[in-house]
Amino acid sequence: MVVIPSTLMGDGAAQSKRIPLTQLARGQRAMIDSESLTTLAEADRCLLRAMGIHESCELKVCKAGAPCIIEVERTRVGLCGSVASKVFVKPCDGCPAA
Amino acid sequence: MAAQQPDELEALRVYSTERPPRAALLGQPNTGKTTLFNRLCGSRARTANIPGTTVESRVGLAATTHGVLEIMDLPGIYGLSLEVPESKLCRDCLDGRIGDVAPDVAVIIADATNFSRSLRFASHALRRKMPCVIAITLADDARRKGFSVNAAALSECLGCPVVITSGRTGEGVDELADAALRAALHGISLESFEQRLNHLPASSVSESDLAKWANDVLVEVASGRLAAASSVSDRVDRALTHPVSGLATFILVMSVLFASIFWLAQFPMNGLDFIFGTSGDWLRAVMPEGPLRDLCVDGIIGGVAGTVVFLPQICLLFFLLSLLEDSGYLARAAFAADKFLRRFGLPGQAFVPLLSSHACALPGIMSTRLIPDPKDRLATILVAPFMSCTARLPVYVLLISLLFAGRPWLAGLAFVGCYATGAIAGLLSAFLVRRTLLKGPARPMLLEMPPYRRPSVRIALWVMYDRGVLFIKNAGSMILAICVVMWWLSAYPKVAPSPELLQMRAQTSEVALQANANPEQVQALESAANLLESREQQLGSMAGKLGLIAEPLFHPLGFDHQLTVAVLTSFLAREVFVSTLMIISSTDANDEASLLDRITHNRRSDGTLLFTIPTAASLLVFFTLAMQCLPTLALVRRETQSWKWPLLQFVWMSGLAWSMAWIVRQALLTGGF
Repeated sequence: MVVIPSTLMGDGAAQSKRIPLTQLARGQRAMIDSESLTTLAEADRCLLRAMGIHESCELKVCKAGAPCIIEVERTRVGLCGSVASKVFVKPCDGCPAA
Repeated sequence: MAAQQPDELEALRVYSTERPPRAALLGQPNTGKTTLFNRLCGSRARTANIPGTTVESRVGLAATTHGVLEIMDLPGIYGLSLEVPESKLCRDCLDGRIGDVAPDVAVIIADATNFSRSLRFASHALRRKMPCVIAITLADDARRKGFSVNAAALSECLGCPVVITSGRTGEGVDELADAALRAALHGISLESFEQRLNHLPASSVSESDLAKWANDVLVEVASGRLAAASSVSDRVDRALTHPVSGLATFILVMSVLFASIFWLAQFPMNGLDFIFGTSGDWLRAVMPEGPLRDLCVDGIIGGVAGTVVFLPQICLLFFLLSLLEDSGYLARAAFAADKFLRRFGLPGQAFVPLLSSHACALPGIMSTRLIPDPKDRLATILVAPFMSCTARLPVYVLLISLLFAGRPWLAGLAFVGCYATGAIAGLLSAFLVRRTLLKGPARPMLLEMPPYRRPSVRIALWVMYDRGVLFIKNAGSMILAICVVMWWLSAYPKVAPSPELLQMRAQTSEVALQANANPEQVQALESAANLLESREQQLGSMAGKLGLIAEPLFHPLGFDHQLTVAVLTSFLAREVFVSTLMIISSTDANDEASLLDRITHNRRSDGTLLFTIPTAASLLVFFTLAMQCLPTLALVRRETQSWKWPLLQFVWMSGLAWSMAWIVRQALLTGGF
């Protein structure tokens, strides 16, 4: 899969661009991109899915940076920087940073 | 609970007399599974390895209205189909591929405070053709937050019994045990299994569709809505995982933890020491002199005392760690330490075991069970004994006092240097082992952050009891056997008294018989004679003879045969070194100052001073790095279920210790010391 760095995308694609989880601000909501988890190791991808972090699910960033803490439904998961940078998301409409 | 038919009750009784039906608790981590297990089984639980595996499981008996149910608490897993050891173990256990017998019923834990995710987990578990019961846990917590589940409606939706429970309050626990027993008794027919499958989404369904199914079920069976996690949790999380405040909090919490262990444990440790000492003295007084008395007093009581004396530290450590884990802090602490440890191939969770090893490697190695990845755990076990434990302390004090007498600042620095040397050697060894034997980086941290909760003292006491019992069992089996063998090697063959000793004894008797005998002088002579006798016995024993054989090995480090014996006997436990030195350097004093004086002036057979600066320094370096602890090796063998790892650990640590000690000695000799 070819991952296009967000910096190469135009501003017009603001709502549909894929950005790494690490680029989201605290409080921001986003949706996990349909193929974004495929860049992760198989074991990590399966574990995330089993924890409820799957493609098309909505998440909230509780803490930005590394470690990155996200909340999906009622599950709060901490991801080290190397994993968070490989998870690509699409920021949600009307969900600005807190 | 439905009324039982008479024939069903009779069948239950018959079943219970043959063997209790077995229920397996299956659920995700942090869902109240262990609390529920403790509530179901209470004191009727024990920790044991699942037969045929090295994985521990708690097994207990739950009393129901109609008989006894055996309950097995399987490891917490996020999914049955995951390719991780815990998930594979649960699959094998449910299928009856491991263990003496497959469970008769699966009790699937569904956390009411995270219901949608629990439903997705349950949908996979319910696909197994076996009787299942759903236990909804943390129901009281969810209700407080305005969320409740209709058990009857959910049972209708999933096609299996559902019981609402709370491990904390005991709500629904009896009903759950009864429901599990009934389900185990009835078994499952093909027809009812197919009916159940009809309630579930197809196995090939995507995660998104599964989430939609779970949400539909939730809407149908639940009322209310759980409020989002508080912003306070967000703020606390940010502080506890921040590179500066997180690390500072971590250091503070761990310092308080270990200071508490050292301070609080000293009282029961002194008590144990007194009990073992008194028992030994009493046995020595009542038993007739001979090998059996020596075996009981010196071998069994002396050997076990040296290990069991650490029991209070181990119990306290696990009690406090359980409170921290239950509060939700340990997951945050692991992230705080992760960045630093990752550079050496260790995960953040390794910090607690490594820090614990500064008290004693035994609890440190036992606490590696917090580390989920087997390679990460093994790497941590291998390097944990490098951390300077309390047993090294007397040796450090003695040798540093010798090296830096009258220079307290330098002595203090050397002390810190010993701790730093051990820690650096451990981290570098981890770096090496992760690039050779256990190739690959530490598994990236990807950890669920459980909600902050008030920790349960009840659970912490259970954990403490469990770990304590396990430690005592270990001390009573393998460690006891090793202690007895080592005692035998150092006590036999009995050596005939030398003419010098006989002369000393005669002189003592002569002085004691004099009318104006000075009691202090008599006591001093007796003490000197006893020390000489011990020294002769030590050198004439098999361990002593081994010392003479091994002397060439230690000669490059400047050790003579006496020092080699002390090093070899301290293999049983490091603290033995000081007492052995006291024995082999024959003077009449017992206190530390006299010991220091005696060691300072101790001479080799050729008349030269034994403890020159290069020799003392090389001995200090050797003790900082060497694996001089038999109980630790025995525990590593037990934890890794293989002799390969403890042997490798012994060879590596001893080899490194020898090499570094030789380098230090040569450098000092070259420098003109």
